[in-house]
Amino acid sequence: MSKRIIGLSASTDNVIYVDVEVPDDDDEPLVILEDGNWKLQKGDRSNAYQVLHQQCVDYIREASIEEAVVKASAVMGRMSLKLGMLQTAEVRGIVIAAAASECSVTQLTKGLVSRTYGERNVDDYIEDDDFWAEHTTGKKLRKMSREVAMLLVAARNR
Amino acid sequence: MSDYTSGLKVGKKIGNGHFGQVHEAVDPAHGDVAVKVLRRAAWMTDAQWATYKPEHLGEAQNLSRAEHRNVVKVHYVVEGDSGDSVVICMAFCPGGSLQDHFETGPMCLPAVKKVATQVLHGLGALHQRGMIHRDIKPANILIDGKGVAQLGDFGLVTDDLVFGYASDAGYLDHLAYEVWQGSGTSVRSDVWALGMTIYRLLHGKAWYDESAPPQDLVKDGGYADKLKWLPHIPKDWRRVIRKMLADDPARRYQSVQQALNGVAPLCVEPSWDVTVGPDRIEWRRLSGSRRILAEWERISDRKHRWRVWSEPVGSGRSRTLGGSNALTSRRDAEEGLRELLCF
Repeated sequence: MSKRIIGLSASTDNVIYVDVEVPDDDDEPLVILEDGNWKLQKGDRSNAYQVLHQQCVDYIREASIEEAVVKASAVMGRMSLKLGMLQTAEVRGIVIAAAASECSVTQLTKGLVSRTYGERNVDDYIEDDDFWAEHTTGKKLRKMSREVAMLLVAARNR
Repeated sequence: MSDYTSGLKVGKKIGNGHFGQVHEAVDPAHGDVAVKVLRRAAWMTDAQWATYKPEHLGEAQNLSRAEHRNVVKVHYVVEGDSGDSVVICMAFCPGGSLQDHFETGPMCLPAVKKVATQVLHGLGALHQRGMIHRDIKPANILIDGKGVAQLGDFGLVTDDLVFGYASDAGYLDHLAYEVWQGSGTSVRSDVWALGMTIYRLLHGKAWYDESAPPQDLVKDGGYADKLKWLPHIPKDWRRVIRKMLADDPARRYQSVQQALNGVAPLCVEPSWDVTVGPDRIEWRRLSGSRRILAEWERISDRKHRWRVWSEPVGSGRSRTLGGSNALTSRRDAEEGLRELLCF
């Protein structure tokens, strides 16, 4: 049985989502069903979070998504904490809570994907057009969404 | 089951819809409810009614299983005793419909943005389930007890009936260009109707009625460029509404998700309370300890006067912020006001 999975990546004011069908046969490519983004509403962030939460819940419920893979928070070197990072973490929390209310949620860091998937660094795969031609089919996957799709490719192989 | 009698107690009429009326009622299981009775229209032949009734009984029964925070809950649907009606028992929305707000006057930007967002959420759920609403307009947006907008009256129009409907509460004003040209309704014609709804809510009935009704203009094309705007409506709002009202469906938002992304960045400040009268339009808002006011006198088609000023909430002096020193053209008045009302 194929499985419907969504990949999610949060930023300060936007969430990228990639909705795929994962075929039962591991050799078959992921079928991209939707590649889009949810923009955070401008203005009061509490209202914006409520809207985003509902948007995420609605999508997952109506599309009968079985699992969500979320790009997890990660500490990058010794960077000082900036407001944008905190706000991104807030948005990520909203998305995780919303997804978890409808389906199971897995969180993966980019570093973990790098260490556990394939021979190469994640960024190498993201840049590699042939890799995406081989591993995905269906709707067009935007270049900016490849990092999210990479979570799904990696999650499939775990 | 033939002995079954409903304990539904039907009360006063609270609205008119297509084919029938809506009443307040009390249901033994659901408490306060609204009951809509869809009657066979006088113009319907036996054959048309025979087609319409089972289709819509079926669709309404599907809807009774479709739950969403922004869609009016349908509790159950039954056929009337005479066979000439369908009775739909729905959640009662004590806040009434947005038709009342539309008739009262322009709604403020934050309120319209909230409604647009919530309606899009409800519409998205219907579209995901393969349904088209086909009748989005202020009268079909209801406000529940918590102030949340809910879509009502969905699934009751079919493509065959689109032009057979009466023009209740501006129904024909919400038909997209391609529907007038003979194409069927679609997700994108729902987006068109929502654009029209947002425009109407932002402007109110008095302003809306000053222009020819869309049903007389849309079919000729280019309607989005003929819209007349109140000066305080910001550019980004105009752009989003024009996009929703584009003649070519391919130039509109292609989905509810896209429309939500269009609405998300819209600014809601400054938020004005607006009163539109036949000769004078007034704007009011608070800014700290001062009240900002504006007025536009429309003396005749060619003679206009406007001014914007501030007053302290308590005692103190008024301050002029701008205005026409003498009578001016409509265009100059609109431009002057726009500069000071949406910054």
